[in-house]
Amino acid sequence: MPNDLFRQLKSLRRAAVDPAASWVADNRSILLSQIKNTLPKSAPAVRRADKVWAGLEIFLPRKIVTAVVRPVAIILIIVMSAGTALAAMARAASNTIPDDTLYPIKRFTEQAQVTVAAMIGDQGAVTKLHVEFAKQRAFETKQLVQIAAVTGAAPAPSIAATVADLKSEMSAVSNNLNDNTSAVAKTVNQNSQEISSVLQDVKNNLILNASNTPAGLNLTRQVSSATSLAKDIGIKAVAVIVNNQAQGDTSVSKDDAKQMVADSLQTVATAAAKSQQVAAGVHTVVEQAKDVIKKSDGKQIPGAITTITTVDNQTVAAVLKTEQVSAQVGQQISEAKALVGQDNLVQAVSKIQQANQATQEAERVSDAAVQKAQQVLPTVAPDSAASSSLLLNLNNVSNGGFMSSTPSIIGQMISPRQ
Amino acid sequence: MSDIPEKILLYKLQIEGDADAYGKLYDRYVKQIYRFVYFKVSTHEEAEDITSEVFLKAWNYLQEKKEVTSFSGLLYRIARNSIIDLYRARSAKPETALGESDDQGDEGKWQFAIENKIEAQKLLRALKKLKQEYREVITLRYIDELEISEIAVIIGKGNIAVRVALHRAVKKLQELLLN
Repeated sequence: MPNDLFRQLKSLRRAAVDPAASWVADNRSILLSQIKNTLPKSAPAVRRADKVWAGLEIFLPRKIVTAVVRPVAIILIIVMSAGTALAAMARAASNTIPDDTLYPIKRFTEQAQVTVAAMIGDQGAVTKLHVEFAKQRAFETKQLVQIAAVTGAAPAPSIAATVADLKSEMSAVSNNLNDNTSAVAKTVNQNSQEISSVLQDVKNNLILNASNTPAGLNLTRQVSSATSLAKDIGIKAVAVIVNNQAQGDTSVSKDDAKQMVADSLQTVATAAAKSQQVAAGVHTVVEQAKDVIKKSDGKQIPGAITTITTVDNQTVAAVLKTEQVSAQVGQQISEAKALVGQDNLVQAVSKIQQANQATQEAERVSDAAVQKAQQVLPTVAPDSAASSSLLLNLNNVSNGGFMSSTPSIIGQMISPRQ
Repeated sequence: MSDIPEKILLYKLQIEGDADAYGKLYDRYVKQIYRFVYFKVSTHEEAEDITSEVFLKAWNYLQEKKEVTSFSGLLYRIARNSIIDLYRARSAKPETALGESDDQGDEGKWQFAIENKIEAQKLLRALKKLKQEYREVITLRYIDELEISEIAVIIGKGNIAVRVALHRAVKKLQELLLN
Protein backbone atom coordinates (compact mmCIF):
# COMPACT_ATOMS: atom_id res chain seq x y z
CA MET A 1 0.00 0.00 0.00
CA PRO A 2 1.37 3.43 -0.88
CA ASN A 3 2.63 5.23 2.20
CA ASP A 4 0.67 8.33 1.34
CA LEU A 5 -2.64 6.54 1.30
CA PHE A 6 -1.71 4.73 4.48
CA ARG A 7 -0.97 8.05 6.16
CA GLN A 8 -4.25 9.51 5.02
CA LEU A 9 -6.24 6.60 6.34
CA LYS A 10 -4.46 6.75 9.67
CA SER A 11 -5.14 10.45 9.88
CA LEU A 12 -8.84 9.70 9.70
CA ARG A 13 -8.38 7.61 12.82
CA ARG A 14 -6.65 10.29 14.74
CA ALA A 15 -8.95 13.02 13.74
CA ALA A 16 -12.54 13.34 12.98
CA VAL A 17 -14.30 10.19 13.76
CA ASP A 18 -13.61 9.73 17.46
CA PRO A 19 -16.64 10.03 19.73
CA ALA A 20 -17.02 13.05 21.89
CA ALA A 21 -15.46 12.58 25.30
CA SER A 22 -18.57 13.78 27.09
CA TRP A 23 -20.72 11.29 25.26
CA VAL A 24 -18.31 8.48 26.10
CA ALA A 25 -18.48 9.32 29.82
CA ASP A 26 -22.23 9.80 29.89
CA ASN A 27 -22.86 6.64 27.98
CA ARG A 28 -20.59 4.71 30.32
CA SER A 29 -22.55 5.81 33.37
CA ILE A 30 -25.87 4.93 31.78
CA LEU A 31 -24.61 1.58 30.61
CA LEU A 32 -23.20 0.59 34.02
CA SER A 33 -26.35 1.62 35.84
CA GLN A 34 -28.40 -0.47 33.45
CA ILE A 35 -26.27 -3.57 33.83
CA LYS A 36 -26.03 -3.27 37.59
CA ASN A 37 -29.80 -3.45 37.75
CA THR A 38 -29.65 -6.83 36.07
CA LEU A 39 -27.09 -8.28 38.48
CA PRO A 40 -28.37 -10.26 41.51
CA LYS A 41 -28.10 -8.51 44.88
CA SER A 42 -25.71 -11.14 46.19
CA ALA A 43 -23.37 -13.30 44.20
CA PRO A 44 -24.89 -16.73 43.62
CA ALA A 45 -23.33 -19.59 45.54
CA VAL A 46 -21.14 -21.29 43.00
CA ARG A 47 -19.05 -24.31 43.79
CA ARG A 48 -15.38 -23.62 43.65
CA ALA A 49 -14.90 -26.41 41.14
CA ASP A 50 -17.49 -24.88 38.82
CA LYS A 51 -15.71 -21.54 39.13
CA VAL A 52 -12.47 -23.18 38.12
CA TRP A 53 -13.93 -24.82 35.03
CA ALA A 54 -15.81 -21.67 34.04
CA GLY A 55 -12.68 -19.63 34.55
CA LEU A 56 -10.64 -22.01 32.43
CA GLU A 57 -13.19 -21.76 29.64
CA ILE A 58 -12.44 -18.06 29.40
CA PHE A 59 -8.75 -18.66 28.83
CA LEU A 60 -9.00 -21.86 26.81
CA PRO A 61 -11.48 -23.02 24.18
CA ARG A 62 -14.49 -24.60 25.85
CA LYS A 63 -14.12 -27.81 23.86
CA ILE A 64 -10.60 -28.31 25.15
CA VAL A 65 -11.65 -27.66 28.73
CA THR A 66 -14.60 -30.03 28.49
CA ALA A 67 -12.95 -32.79 26.48
CA VAL A 68 -9.40 -32.68 27.81
CA VAL A 69 -8.59 -30.46 30.76
CA ARG A 70 -11.52 -31.38 32.97
CA PRO A 71 -11.32 -35.19 32.51
CA VAL A 72 -7.54 -35.18 32.97
CA ALA A 73 -7.82 -33.07 36.12
CA ILE A 74 -10.48 -35.38 37.54
CA ILE A 75 -8.41 -38.47 36.78
CA LEU A 76 -5.35 -36.88 38.39
CA ILE A 77 -7.33 -35.99 41.50
CA ILE A 78 -8.70 -39.52 41.74
CA VAL A 79 -5.26 -41.08 41.26
CA MET A 80 -3.68 -38.77 43.83
CA SER A 81 -6.47 -39.38 46.32
CA ALA A 82 -6.31 -43.09 45.75
CA GLY A 83 -2.55 -43.04 46.11
CA THR A 84 -2.70 -41.13 49.36
CA ALA A 85 -5.46 -43.28 50.74
CA LEU A 86 -3.69 -46.45 49.63
CA ALA A 87 -0.45 -45.42 51.32
CA ALA A 88 -2.32 -44.76 54.56
CA MET A 89 -4.12 -48.08 54.30
CA ALA A 90 -0.87 -49.90 53.51
CA ARG A 91 0.67 -48.54 56.69
CA ALA A 92 -2.37 -49.60 58.70
CA ALA A 93 -2.35 -53.02 57.06
CA SER A 94 1.33 -53.81 57.65
CA ASN A 95 0.70 -55.55 60.98
CA THR A 96 -2.39 -57.45 60.01
CA ILE A 97 -2.69 -61.21 59.87
CA PRO A 98 -4.92 -63.41 57.75
CA ASP A 99 -8.64 -62.98 58.40
CA ASP A 100 -8.11 -59.29 59.31
CA THR A 101 -10.06 -56.82 57.19
CA LEU A 102 -7.02 -54.99 55.85
CA TYR A 103 -4.92 -58.09 55.27
CA PRO A 104 -5.64 -58.09 51.51
CA ILE A 105 -4.14 -54.58 51.40
CA LYS A 106 -0.96 -55.92 52.96
CA ARG A 107 -0.72 -58.65 50.37
CA PHE A 108 -1.53 -56.24 47.55
CA THR A 109 1.23 -53.91 48.73
CA GLU A 110 3.70 -56.80 48.82
CA GLN A 111 2.78 -57.85 45.33
CA ALA A 112 3.20 -54.28 44.11
CA GLN A 113 6.69 -54.16 45.61
CA VAL A 114 7.67 -57.34 43.81
CA THR A 115 6.20 -56.12 40.56
CA VAL A 116 8.12 -52.85 40.71
CA ALA A 117 11.38 -54.59 41.55
CA ALA A 118 10.85 -57.05 38.70
CA MET A 119 10.02 -54.25 36.27
CA ILE A 120 13.28 -52.46 36.97
CA GLY A 121 15.15 -55.75 36.64
CA ASP A 122 16.51 -55.89 40.18
CA GLN A 123 16.65 -59.66 40.69
CA GLY A 124 18.37 -59.31 44.04
CA ALA A 125 15.59 -57.10 45.36
CA VAL A 126 12.97 -59.56 44.12
CA THR A 127 14.66 -62.44 45.93
CA LYS A 128 15.05 -60.44 49.12
CA LEU A 129 11.39 -59.45 48.98
CA HIS A 130 10.27 -63.06 48.55
CA VAL A 131 12.30 -64.24 51.55
CA GLU A 132 11.05 -61.31 53.62
CA PHE A 133 7.47 -62.14 52.72
CA ALA A 134 8.11 -65.81 53.56
CA LYS A 135 9.25 -64.66 56.98
CA GLN A 136 6.05 -62.61 57.29
CA ARG A 137 3.98 -65.70 56.45
CA ALA A 138 5.90 -67.68 59.07
CA PHE A 139 5.18 -65.14 61.79
CA GLU A 140 1.55 -64.89 60.70
CA THR A 141 1.24 -68.67 60.93
CA LYS A 142 2.71 -68.60 64.41
CA GLN A 143 0.22 -65.96 65.55
CA LEU A 144 -2.72 -67.79 64.09
CA VAL A 145 -1.74 -71.05 65.76
CA GLN A 146 -1.23 -69.28 69.08
CA ILE A 147 -4.68 -67.70 68.78
CA ALA A 148 -6.21 -71.08 68.04
CA ALA A 149 -4.44 -72.56 71.04
CA VAL A 150 -5.66 -69.82 73.39
CA THR A 151 -9.24 -69.89 72.17
CA GLY A 152 -9.32 -73.66 71.96
CA ALA A 153 -10.67 -73.42 68.45
CA ALA A 154 -9.68 -75.72 65.66
CA PRO A 155 -6.96 -74.30 63.42
CA ALA A 156 -8.58 -71.98 60.89
CA PRO A 157 -8.39 -72.81 57.17
CA SER A 158 -6.46 -69.57 56.73
CA ILE A 159 -3.50 -71.14 58.55
CA ALA A 160 -3.14 -73.82 55.91
CA ALA A 161 -3.47 -71.16 53.23
CA THR A 162 -0.79 -69.05 54.90
CA VAL A 163 1.57 -72.00 55.08
CA ALA A 164 0.91 -72.65 51.40
CA ASP A 165 1.75 -69.02 50.63
CA LEU A 166 4.92 -69.35 52.65
CA LYS A 167 6.00 -72.37 50.67
CA SER A 168 5.22 -70.51 47.48
CA GLU A 169 7.43 -67.60 48.52
CA MET A 170 10.24 -69.97 49.50
CA SER A 171 9.95 -71.72 46.14
CA ALA A 172 10.32 -68.37 44.42
CA VAL A 173 13.45 -67.72 46.45
CA SER A 174 14.88 -71.14 45.65
CA ASN A 175 14.21 -70.82 41.93
CA ASN A 176 16.15 -67.57 41.66
CA LEU A 177 18.86 -68.15 44.23
CA ASN A 178 21.55 -69.36 41.83
CA ASP A 179 21.31 -66.15 39.81
CA ASN A 180 21.89 -63.91 42.78
CA THR A 181 24.92 -62.39 44.41
CA SER A 182 26.58 -63.70 47.55
CA ALA A 183 25.23 -60.72 49.48
CA VAL A 184 21.68 -61.67 48.60
CA ALA A 185 22.41 -65.33 49.38
CA LYS A 186 23.70 -64.33 52.80
CA THR A 187 20.45 -62.50 53.50
CA VAL A 188 18.49 -65.52 52.36
CA ASN A 189 20.51 -67.81 54.63
CA GLN A 190 19.91 -65.62 57.67
CA ASN A 191 16.20 -65.29 57.00
CA SER A 192 15.82 -69.00 56.28
CA GLN A 193 17.27 -69.85 59.66
CA GLU A 194 14.81 -67.48 61.29
CA ILE A 195 11.91 -68.95 59.32
CA SER A 196 12.95 -72.46 60.26
CA SER A 197 13.09 -71.50 63.94
CA VAL A 198 9.64 -69.89 63.86
CA LEU A 199 8.13 -72.88 62.07
CA GLN A 200 9.64 -75.23 64.63
CA ASP A 201 7.77 -73.28 67.32
CA VAL A 202 4.60 -73.57 65.25
CA LYS A 203 5.01 -77.33 64.92
CA ASN A 204 5.61 -77.72 68.64
CA ASN A 205 2.52 -75.63 69.35
CA LEU A 206 0.43 -77.75 67.02
CA ILE A 207 1.64 -80.95 68.60
CA LEU A 208 1.10 -79.57 72.09
CA ASN A 209 -2.43 -78.53 71.34
CA ALA A 210 -2.89 -81.76 69.56
CA SER A 211 -5.43 -81.57 66.88
CA ASN A 212 -5.83 -85.18 65.92
CA THR A 213 -8.36 -84.40 63.24
CA PRO A 214 -7.30 -85.07 59.66
CA ALA A 215 -7.11 -81.30 59.05
CA GLY A 216 -4.96 -80.78 62.12
CA LEU A 217 -2.62 -83.62 61.27
CA ASN A 218 -2.36 -82.41 57.70
CA LEU A 219 -1.50 -78.92 58.92
CA THR A 220 1.28 -80.31 61.09
CA ARG A 221 2.66 -82.17 58.09
CA GLN A 222 2.51 -79.00 55.98
CA VAL A 223 4.38 -77.02 58.61
CA SER A 224 7.03 -79.75 58.78
CA SER A 225 7.32 -79.63 55.02
CA ALA A 226 7.73 -75.84 55.09
CA THR A 227 10.38 -76.16 57.79
CA SER A 228 12.31 -78.62 55.64
CA LEU A 229 12.04 -76.27 52.69
CA ALA A 230 13.43 -73.39 54.74
CA LYS A 231 16.37 -75.50 55.87
CA ASP A 232 17.04 -76.63 52.29
CA ILE A 233 17.10 -73.06 51.07
CA GLY A 234 19.36 -71.99 53.88
CA ILE A 235 21.92 -74.59 52.89
CA LYS A 236 21.42 -73.79 49.20
CA ALA A 237 22.24 -70.16 49.97
CA VAL A 238 25.51 -71.28 51.57
CA ALA A 239 26.21 -73.34 48.43
CA VAL A 240 25.69 -70.23 46.25
CA ILE A 241 28.12 -68.23 48.35
CA VAL A 242 30.72 -70.97 48.29
CA ASN A 243 30.37 -71.50 44.52
CA ASN A 244 30.60 -67.76 43.86
CA GLN A 245 33.74 -67.64 45.95
CA ALA A 246 35.23 -70.48 43.98
CA GLN A 247 34.66 -68.38 40.86
CA GLY A 248 36.43 -65.39 42.34
CA ASP A 249 33.65 -63.50 44.11
CA THR A 250 35.11 -61.94 47.23
CA SER A 251 32.03 -60.03 48.39
CA VAL A 252 31.80 -62.52 51.26
CA SER A 253 35.13 -63.27 52.93
CA LYS A 254 36.47 -66.79 53.07
CA ASP A 255 36.32 -66.77 56.85
CA ASP A 256 32.66 -65.74 56.78
CA ALA A 257 31.93 -68.48 54.26
CA LYS A 258 33.72 -71.06 56.42
CA GLN A 259 31.75 -69.94 59.44
CA MET A 260 28.48 -70.25 57.53
CA VAL A 261 29.45 -73.78 56.48
CA ALA A 262 30.36 -74.66 60.06
CA ASP A 263 27.04 -73.26 61.30
CA SER A 264 25.14 -75.32 58.74
CA LEU A 265 27.03 -78.44 59.84
CA GLN A 266 26.08 -77.79 63.43
CA THR A 267 22.43 -77.20 62.56
CA VAL A 268 22.18 -80.50 60.71
CA ALA A 269 23.96 -82.41 63.44
CA THR A 270 21.70 -80.95 66.11
CA ALA A 271 18.59 -81.83 64.11
CA ALA A 272 19.70 -85.42 63.68
CA ALA A 273 20.42 -85.78 67.36
CA LYS A 274 17.10 -84.30 68.32
CA SER A 275 15.16 -86.68 66.06
CA GLN A 276 16.93 -89.58 67.68
CA GLN A 277 16.17 -88.25 71.17
CA VAL A 278 12.50 -87.67 70.34
CA ALA A 279 12.05 -91.17 68.92
CA ALA A 280 13.72 -92.66 71.96
CA GLY A 281 11.64 -90.57 74.32
CA VAL A 282 8.38 -91.53 72.66
CA HIS A 283 9.36 -95.15 72.79
CA THR A 284 10.07 -94.89 76.51
CA VAL A 285 6.69 -93.28 77.25
CA VAL A 286 4.85 -95.87 75.22
CA GLU A 287 6.79 -98.69 76.85
CA GLN A 288 5.88 -97.43 80.30
CA ALA A 289 2.23 -97.08 79.36
CA LYS A 290 2.26 -100.64 78.02
CA ASP A 291 3.79 -101.99 81.24
CA VAL A 292 1.16 -100.31 83.41
CA ILE A 293 -1.70 -101.50 81.25
CA LYS A 294 -0.38 -105.08 81.41
CA LYS A 295 -0.17 -104.92 85.17
CA SER A 296 -3.75 -103.72 85.68
CA ASP A 297 -5.50 -107.04 85.25
CA GLY A 298 -9.24 -106.75 84.90
CA LYS A 299 -9.20 -103.01 84.79
CA GLN A 300 -8.04 -102.53 81.26
CA ILE A 301 -9.95 -100.84 78.47
CA PRO A 302 -10.86 -103.53 75.91
CA GLY A 303 -8.26 -103.73 73.13
CA ALA A 304 -5.84 -101.46 74.96
CA ILE A 305 -3.07 -104.06 75.07
CA THR A 306 -3.27 -104.72 71.36
CA THR A 307 -3.34 -101.01 70.51
CA ILE A 308 -0.47 -100.07 72.77
CA THR A 309 1.60 -103.00 71.51
CA THR A 310 1.15 -101.86 67.92
CA VAL A 311 2.20 -98.34 68.78
CA ASP A 312 5.15 -99.67 70.74
CA ASN A 313 6.36 -101.61 67.73
CA GLN A 314 6.09 -98.46 65.62
CA THR A 315 8.15 -96.50 68.09
CA VAL A 316 10.79 -99.20 68.07
CA ALA A 317 11.02 -98.89 64.32
CA ALA A 318 11.29 -95.12 64.67
CA VAL A 319 14.10 -95.47 67.16
CA LEU A 320 16.00 -97.83 64.92
CA LYS A 321 15.55 -95.58 61.92
CA THR A 322 16.67 -92.45 63.72
CA GLU A 323 19.68 -94.22 65.15
CA GLN A 324 20.67 -95.35 61.71
CA VAL A 325 20.25 -91.85 60.31
CA SER A 326 22.14 -90.35 63.18
CA ALA A 327 25.06 -92.62 62.50
CA GLN A 328 24.94 -91.85 58.80
CA VAL A 329 24.74 -88.11 59.42
CA GLY A 330 27.58 -88.33 61.89
CA GLN A 331 29.76 -89.90 59.23
CA GLN A 332 28.82 -87.28 56.68
CA ILE A 333 29.47 -84.43 59.08
CA SER A 334 32.89 -85.82 59.90
CA GLU A 335 33.71 -85.96 56.20
CA ALA A 336 32.41 -82.43 55.74
CA LYS A 337 34.55 -81.14 58.57
CA ALA A 338 37.59 -82.70 56.99
CA LEU A 339 36.79 -81.01 53.69
CA VAL A 340 36.39 -77.65 55.45
CA GLY A 341 39.82 -78.20 56.95
CA GLN A 342 41.12 -78.66 53.40
CA ASP A 343 39.37 -75.44 52.31
CA ASN A 344 37.22 -77.49 49.98
CA LEU A 345 34.04 -75.68 50.88
CA VAL A 346 32.14 -76.70 47.75
CA GLN A 347 32.42 -80.40 48.55
CA ALA A 348 31.75 -79.72 52.22
CA VAL A 349 28.46 -78.06 51.39
CA SER A 350 27.53 -80.98 49.17
CA LYS A 351 28.03 -83.32 52.14
CA ILE A 352 25.90 -81.03 54.28
CA GLN A 353 23.09 -81.18 51.75
CA GLN A 354 23.18 -84.98 51.83
CA ALA A 355 23.18 -85.01 55.63
CA ASN A 356 20.30 -82.57 55.66
CA GLN A 357 18.20 -84.84 53.48
CA ALA A 358 18.82 -87.76 55.83
CA THR A 359 18.04 -85.63 58.87
CA GLN A 360 14.75 -84.53 57.40
CA GLU A 361 13.79 -88.15 56.84
CA ALA A 362 14.56 -88.86 60.52
CA GLU A 363 12.43 -85.89 61.55
CA ARG A 364 9.50 -87.22 59.60
CA VAL A 365 9.83 -90.57 61.30
CA SER A 366 10.04 -89.12 64.80
CA ASP A 367 7.18 -86.68 64.16
CA ALA A 368 5.01 -89.56 62.96
CA ALA A 369 5.83 -91.50 66.12
CA VAL A 370 4.84 -88.58 68.33
CA GLN A 371 1.59 -88.06 66.49
CA LYS A 372 0.70 -91.72 66.68
CA ALA A 373 1.38 -91.83 70.38
CA GLN A 374 -0.71 -88.72 70.91
CA GLN A 375 -3.60 -90.26 69.05
CA VAL A 376 -3.50 -93.53 70.92
CA LEU A 377 -2.58 -92.77 74.51
CA PRO A 378 -5.76 -90.83 75.39
CA THR A 379 -7.86 -93.73 74.13
CA VAL A 380 -6.22 -96.18 76.47
CA ALA A 381 -6.29 -93.67 79.39
CA PRO A 382 -9.81 -92.84 80.61
CA ASP A 383 -8.60 -90.32 83.18
CA SER A 384 -8.28 -87.03 81.31
CA ALA A 385 -5.98 -85.44 83.91
CA ALA A 386 -3.51 -88.28 83.72
CA SER A 387 -3.81 -88.31 79.97
CA SER A 388 -2.94 -84.62 79.85
CA SER A 389 0.11 -85.25 82.03
CA LEU A 390 1.23 -87.97 79.76
CA LEU A 391 0.71 -85.86 76.71
CA LEU A 392 2.63 -83.00 78.27
CA ASN A 393 5.43 -85.36 79.01
CA LEU A 394 5.34 -86.55 75.46
CA ASN A 395 5.44 -82.98 74.23
CA ASN A 396 8.43 -82.20 76.35
CA VAL A 397 10.19 -85.09 74.70
CA SER A 398 9.17 -84.00 71.24
CA ASN A 399 10.54 -80.54 71.97
CA GLY A 400 13.87 -82.04 72.93
CA GLY A 401 13.21 -81.80 76.66
CA PHE A 402 13.27 -84.47 79.33
CA MET A 403 10.71 -86.93 80.43
CA SER A 404 9.13 -86.28 83.79
CA SER A 405 6.63 -89.08 83.81
CA THR A 406 6.73 -91.61 86.63
CA PRO A 407 4.95 -94.93 87.05
CA SER A 408 2.64 -93.32 89.61
CA ILE A 409 1.29 -90.88 87.05
CA ILE A 410 0.68 -93.64 84.60
CA GLY A 411 -0.95 -95.64 87.34
CA GLN A 412 -3.39 -92.79 88.06
CA MET A 413 -4.12 -92.68 84.43
CA ILE A 414 -5.07 -96.35 84.25
CA SER A 415 -6.76 -96.80 87.66
CA PRO A 416 -7.75 -93.61 89.46
CA ARG A 417 -8.97 -95.45 92.57
CA GLN A 418 -5.56 -96.91 93.33
CA MET B 1 -7.69 -10.12 20.04
CA SER B 2 -7.84 -12.72 22.77
CA ASP B 3 -5.33 -10.93 24.96
CA ILE B 4 -4.78 -11.66 28.62
CA PRO B 5 -6.14 -8.37 30.03
CA GLU B 6 -9.37 -8.93 28.14
CA LYS B 7 -9.53 -12.51 29.44
CA ILE B 8 -8.97 -11.34 32.97
CA LEU B 9 -11.70 -8.73 32.71
CA LEU B 10 -14.06 -11.33 31.27
CA TYR B 11 -13.22 -13.68 34.13
CA LYS B 12 -13.99 -10.97 36.67
CA LEU B 13 -17.21 -10.16 34.89
CA GLN B 14 -18.57 -13.64 34.27
CA ILE B 15 -17.27 -15.56 37.28
CA GLU B 16 -17.12 -12.90 39.96
CA GLY B 17 -20.01 -10.74 38.69
CA ASP B 18 -17.86 -7.58 38.77
CA ALA B 19 -19.80 -4.87 36.87
CA ASP B 20 -16.81 -2.52 36.97
CA ALA B 21 -14.92 -5.02 34.83
CA TYR B 22 -17.49 -4.38 32.10
CA GLY B 23 -16.84 -0.68 32.46
CA LYS B 24 -13.17 -1.31 31.75
CA LEU B 25 -14.01 -3.40 28.72
CA TYR B 26 -16.17 -0.53 27.52
CA ASP B 27 -13.24 1.88 27.92
CA ARG B 28 -11.01 -0.42 25.85
CA TYR B 29 -13.30 -0.77 22.87
CA VAL B 30 -15.77 2.13 22.73
CA LYS B 31 -13.75 4.28 20.34
CA GLN B 32 -12.99 1.40 18.01
CA ILE B 33 -16.62 0.39 17.79
CA TYR B 34 -17.73 3.94 17.45
CA ARG B 35 -15.40 4.51 14.50
CA PHE B 36 -16.41 1.24 12.92
CA VAL B 37 -20.05 2.19 13.15
CA TYR B 38 -19.52 5.79 12.18
CA PHE B 39 -18.01 4.83 8.81
CA LYS B 40 -21.18 2.98 8.03
CA VAL B 41 -23.87 5.36 9.19
CA SER B 42 -24.89 8.91 8.33
CA THR B 43 -24.61 10.82 11.51
CA HIS B 44 -22.82 10.75 14.78
CA GLU B 45 -26.11 10.39 16.61
CA GLU B 46 -26.76 7.17 14.79
CA ALA B 47 -23.22 6.08 15.57
CA GLU B 48 -23.76 6.87 19.24
CA ASP B 49 -27.08 5.05 19.36
CA ILE B 50 -25.74 2.00 17.68
CA THR B 51 -22.60 1.98 19.79
CA SER B 52 -24.68 2.10 22.96
CA GLU B 53 -26.88 -0.67 21.62
CA VAL B 54 -23.81 -2.76 20.78
CA PHE B 55 -22.49 -2.67 24.33
CA LEU B 56 -25.88 -3.42 25.82
CA LYS B 57 -26.40 -6.39 23.51
CA ALA B 58 -22.93 -7.65 24.34
CA TRP B 59 -23.80 -7.53 28.02
CA ASN B 60 -26.96 -9.57 27.43
CA TYR B 61 -24.94 -12.08 25.44
CA LEU B 62 -22.48 -12.48 28.31
CA GLN B 63 -25.33 -12.95 30.76
CA GLU B 64 -26.46 -15.97 28.77
CA LYS B 65 -23.14 -17.64 29.66
CA LYS B 66 -22.36 -18.32 26.04
CA GLU B 67 -18.78 -19.05 25.08
CA VAL B 68 -16.81 -15.90 24.19
CA THR B 69 -13.50 -16.51 22.48
CA SER B 70 -12.96 -12.80 21.79
CA PHE B 71 -14.90 -9.94 23.31
CA SER B 72 -13.84 -7.42 20.67
CA GLY B 73 -14.86 -9.86 17.97
CA LEU B 74 -18.23 -10.17 19.67
CA LEU B 75 -18.62 -6.38 19.69
CA TYR B 76 -17.80 -6.08 16.00
CA ARG B 77 -20.21 -8.85 15.08
CA ILE B 78 -22.99 -7.23 17.05
CA ALA B 79 -22.14 -3.86 15.46
CA ARG B 80 -22.32 -5.30 11.95
CA ASN B 81 -25.62 -6.95 12.66
CA SER B 82 -27.01 -3.76 14.20
CA ILE B 83 -26.00 -1.81 11.13
CA ILE B 84 -27.62 -4.39 8.88
CA ASP B 85 -30.79 -4.02 10.93
CA LEU B 86 -30.59 -0.26 10.50
CA TYR B 87 -30.21 -0.58 6.74
CA ARG B 88 -33.19 -2.86 6.59
CA ALA B 89 -35.19 -0.41 8.64
CA ARG B 90 -34.56 2.34 6.12
CA SER B 91 -34.49 0.09 3.09
CA ALA B 92 -35.79 2.79 0.82
CA LYS B 93 -32.75 4.89 1.40
CA PRO B 94 -29.41 4.05 -0.19
CA GLU B 95 -26.41 3.24 1.91
CA THR B 96 -25.02 6.39 3.28
CA ALA B 97 -22.36 5.03 5.54
CA LEU B 98 -20.19 7.93 4.82
CA GLY B 99 -22.59 10.57 3.68
CA GLU B 100 -21.44 13.91 2.61
CA SER B 101 -24.36 15.47 4.37
CA ASP B 102 -22.45 14.85 7.49
CA ASP B 103 -23.51 16.56 10.48
CA GLN B 104 -21.50 19.64 10.12
CA GLY B 105 -23.71 21.10 12.79
CA ASP B 106 -21.87 18.89 15.20
CA GLU B 107 -18.70 20.73 14.67
CA GLY B 108 -18.42 21.29 18.32
CA LYS B 109 -18.50 17.56 19.00
CA TRP B 110 -16.00 16.20 16.65
CA GLN B 111 -12.75 17.70 15.80
CA PHE B 112 -11.53 17.77 12.31
CA ALA B 113 -7.91 18.34 13.10
CA ILE B 114 -6.81 16.79 9.86
CA GLU B 115 -4.02 18.62 8.03
CA ASN B 116 -5.76 18.75 4.68
CA LYS B 117 -9.52 18.81 4.93
CA ILE B 118 -9.98 18.53 1.20
CA GLU B 119 -7.74 15.51 1.13
CA ALA B 120 -9.76 13.93 3.88
CA GLN B 121 -13.05 14.63 2.22
CA LYS B 122 -11.78 13.16 -1.04
CA LEU B 123 -10.72 10.06 0.83
CA LEU B 124 -14.06 9.75 2.55
CA ARG B 125 -15.90 10.05 -0.77
CA ALA B 126 -13.72 7.34 -2.27
CA LEU B 127 -14.35 5.07 0.69
CA LYS B 128 -18.04 5.64 0.29
CA LYS B 129 -17.91 4.42 -3.27
CA LEU B 130 -16.28 1.16 -2.29
CA LYS B 131 -18.51 -1.80 -1.83
CA GLN B 132 -19.38 -2.69 1.75
CA GLU B 133 -16.93 -5.54 2.12
CA TYR B 134 -13.97 -3.52 0.81
CA ARG B 135 -14.84 -0.53 2.97
CA GLU B 136 -15.07 -2.74 6.01
CA VAL B 137 -11.73 -4.44 5.63
CA ILE B 138 -9.94 -1.15 4.87
CA THR B 139 -11.35 0.61 7.90
CA LEU B 140 -10.73 -2.34 10.22
CA ARG B 141 -7.19 -2.83 8.97
CA TYR B 142 -5.86 0.69 8.42
CA ILE B 143 -7.99 2.82 10.68
CA ASP B 144 -8.71 0.50 13.61
CA GLU B 145 -5.40 -1.35 13.03
CA LEU B 146 -6.75 -4.80 13.70
CA GLU B 147 -4.83 -7.96 12.77
CA ILE B 148 -5.84 -10.05 9.77
CA SER B 149 -7.04 -12.86 12.04
CA GLU B 150 -9.17 -10.46 14.04
CA ILE B 151 -10.78 -9.08 10.92
CA ALA B 152 -11.41 -12.61 9.71
CA VAL B 153 -13.36 -13.39 12.87
CA ILE B 154 -15.40 -10.19 12.64
CA ILE B 155 -16.47 -10.60 9.05
CA GLY B 156 -16.73 -14.37 9.26
CA LYS B 157 -14.15 -15.30 6.62
CA GLY B 158 -10.76 -16.95 6.50
CA ASN B 159 -7.42 -15.14 6.76
CA ILE B 160 -6.61 -15.66 3.10
CA ALA B 161 -9.99 -14.29 2.04
CA VAL B 162 -9.34 -11.20 4.16
CA ARG B 163 -5.91 -10.65 2.60
CA VAL B 164 -7.37 -11.01 -0.86
CA ALA B 165 -10.19 -8.61 -0.01
CA LEU B 166 -7.72 -6.10 1.40
CA HIS B 167 -5.53 -6.24 -1.65
CA ARG B 168 -8.48 -5.67 -3.95
CA ALA B 169 -9.94 -2.96 -1.72
CA VAL B 170 -6.72 -0.96 -1.65
CA LYS B 171 -6.36 -1.30 -5.42
CA LYS B 172 -9.91 -0.12 -5.95
CA LEU B 173 -9.47 2.78 -3.52
CA GLN B 174 -6.36 3.88 -5.34
CA GLU B 175 -8.23 3.82 -8.65
CA LEU B 176 -11.03 5.89 -7.16
CA LEU B 177 -8.63 8.42 -5.73
CA LEU B 178 -6.80 8.77 -9.03
CA ASN B 179 -10.04 9.34 -10.82
